[in-house]
Amino acid sequence: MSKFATQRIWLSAMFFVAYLTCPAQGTSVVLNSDSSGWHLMRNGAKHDVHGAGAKSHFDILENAGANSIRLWSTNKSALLDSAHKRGMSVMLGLYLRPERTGMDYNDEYAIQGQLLELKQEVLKYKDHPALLLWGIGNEVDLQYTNTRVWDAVEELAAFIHEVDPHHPTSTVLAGIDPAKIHMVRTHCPSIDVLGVNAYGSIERLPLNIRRFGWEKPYLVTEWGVNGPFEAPRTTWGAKKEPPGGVKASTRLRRYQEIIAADSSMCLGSYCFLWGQKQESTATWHGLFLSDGRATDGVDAMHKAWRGDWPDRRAPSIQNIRLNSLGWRKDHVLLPHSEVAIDIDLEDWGGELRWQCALFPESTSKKTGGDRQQSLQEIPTTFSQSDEDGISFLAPEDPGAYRIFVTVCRDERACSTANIPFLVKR
Amino acid sequence: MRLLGAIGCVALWLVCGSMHHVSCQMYDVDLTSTPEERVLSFPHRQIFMDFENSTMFGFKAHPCKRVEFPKENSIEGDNHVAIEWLQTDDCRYLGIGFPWAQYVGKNLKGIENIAAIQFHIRLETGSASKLPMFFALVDYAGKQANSKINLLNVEGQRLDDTWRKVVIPLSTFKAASKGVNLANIKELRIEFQREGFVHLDAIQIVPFQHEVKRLSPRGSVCQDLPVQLDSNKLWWGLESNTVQWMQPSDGTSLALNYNRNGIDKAWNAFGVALNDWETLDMSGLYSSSALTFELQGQWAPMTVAIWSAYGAPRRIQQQLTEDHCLQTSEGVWRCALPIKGFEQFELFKWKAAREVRVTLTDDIQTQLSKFEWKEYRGHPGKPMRWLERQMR
Repeated sequence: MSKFATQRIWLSAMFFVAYLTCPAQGTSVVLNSDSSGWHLMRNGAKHDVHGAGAKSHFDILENAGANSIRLWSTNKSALLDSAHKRGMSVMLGLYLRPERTGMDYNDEYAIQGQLLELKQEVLKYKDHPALLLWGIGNEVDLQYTNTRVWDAVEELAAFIHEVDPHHPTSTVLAGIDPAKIHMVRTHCPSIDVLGVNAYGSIERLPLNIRRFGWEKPYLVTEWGVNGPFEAPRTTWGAKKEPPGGVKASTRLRRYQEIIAADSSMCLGSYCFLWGQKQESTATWHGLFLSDGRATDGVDAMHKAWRGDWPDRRAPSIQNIRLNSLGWRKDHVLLPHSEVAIDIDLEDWGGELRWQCALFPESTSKKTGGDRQQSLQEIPTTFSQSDEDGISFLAPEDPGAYRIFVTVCRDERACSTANIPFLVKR
Repeated sequence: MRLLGAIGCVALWLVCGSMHHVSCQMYDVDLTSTPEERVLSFPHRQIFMDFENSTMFGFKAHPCKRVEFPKENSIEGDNHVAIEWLQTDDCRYLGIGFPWAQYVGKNLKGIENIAAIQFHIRLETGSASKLPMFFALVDYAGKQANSKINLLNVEGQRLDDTWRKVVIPLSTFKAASKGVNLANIKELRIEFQREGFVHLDAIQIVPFQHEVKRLSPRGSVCQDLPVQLDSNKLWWGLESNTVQWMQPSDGTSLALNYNRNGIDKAWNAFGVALNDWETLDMSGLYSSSALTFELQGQWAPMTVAIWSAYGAPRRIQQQLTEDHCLQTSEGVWRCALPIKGFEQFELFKWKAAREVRVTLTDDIQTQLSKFEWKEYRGHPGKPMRWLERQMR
């Protein structure tokens, strides 16, 4: 073997070692601005955030064209590795306790203890190669009264700038108003990027960002369909959830017309939620069902990120009716009366199967996406009433209920819809 | 007689003197003992030293939790508690409890501010900045007050696989605010969430001085009117062609130039912070006050709203009509919006007033000046009369 060849092998080995050790040294993320606006540069390349709030289904996420996930805290740090394995970046949350959970931002002991914990988390994860930016607090402004929380946000952001100059800082607001923008601008000068969770309010977000005076870039850190807190209600207070197909169309429109359209200030977004959670219903925000099957919302995100639809699209429920009345109406039924359910469905082939399930109406008063208990299904017999419809007997006991219909293609890709109803004598 | 009196006085002095002396001796212990001595004299200081000499529950086999009492590497007594847990939907509550001193009702009231629960903790492996463990003092009525580990009071300010001493000041449980009777405490509970594996030992009550530092609340109280809404205040929504200061140096007149079909049609709102976006307590003044201003040029309806920082409703508003404005000369109107004319003004959180916002609803070209929140002594439904009186 020649000396030259030996040198080549030695250099290759060096590069290999360097490749292995590089991730441990982390990545460099910077914010640039030019005449076209703000850009997030990751290791020198432009990184438009096509992200999701995700803890699972990474293969589908990657296939749909996403390049980033958002974590709300460092509790599930293994997800940083999962994201990294797939070449995705992570917006890593530092969980600042919101005032609404009992945190007192006039209590120095509580504040400093919390900051000490979070500073240790920063030091622990700052060199992770998947780290894109820090998310300091999530919705600490929701139902808050004490503006000193912004001092805590700033202390962490300034600390991050000191120990981790390679990753921008952000804080995530529950929607914006002039006061919140002022607070972040003046009390948190070390915040580089504003994170905004916006559901119904996303429609005016680009306008309001400018009107309220935010001049740095922003990320839409949670978005999707209008949340349960914004939904129209029945006379007995049940929230009306749009059918899956309507929600999927809303997602796609909001992405194309609002998020992607504001490329000068908006660095991208994290759709909510790449998974499933109970928030008023089991299907409101989740792009997956509780058993892990994907919905038509996933296809909408595929179209948003990749520009085309997936090969095997899920069916899409456009409307659901009880006794011929649509989902926007109030439905009051007699105990034990026969009820017909039917839906308007768009489908793209494959074998379709229906599934119906009856649940009691949720009584949770939780806010801000706080954890809610899953509900127990009420055993019910459903029968085929005609070609397009299914019927069942309303419960004997008066009260508030909700009927769910799920249609799946080849047992995998589904669409759901539900209608709340009241049983009254 | 005088002699008798003198003897009586001497006797009384002797009796009083000796009584005084006796009582001083009785209180000497409490009055001169240090806080440390008072805590050390508390009879039920040991909560857990080892399993055999402690009262404990929650240690039986459980699908989500495993509690053991290893002998090796203990701090006090023959063994310590090792607990491994994994919370799932099937086990929402995971905990252990110490009804220490054989369930006797413990009176912690006298030592609440001078004592802490101290224990040693180590992780099975690795390190953490926080643990999903919550400590609760439970009284005999079943009420409980919670606290948790604060890294400031962890030896070395880190949690890892070596024993570290932790103190949780009793005052951080904030028992009174939770309605817990500290004079009759039944047990200490530790609740576990998510997952973890820790070792605990030598749980006891120790003397501890916890320095409570409280920051003063922000926000202020409005002491008198008028409040000038001029350029000395913080405004938003002025960065368009629709709304701008007439002369920046003047800072009292806004030029409103709104076209519902123009390119800036969405920029139809602007607002002013009453107190640098902190709250301004208007509760003592709002009921006899009004928002007043002058329009020069053109009159048009607009919506004026007052926003609070919190509470419901967050916003009360009123539509400006011709009944609110008195034309004082050609193209000049003086306007007043009495606060009692705002819908739901009684429900508004006046302690937390924060912003006045104007939304332009119609085409307008005018100058808005002399914007004030001022005293109003008139009928809430008849501002014109009050304006006329002001003109005289």
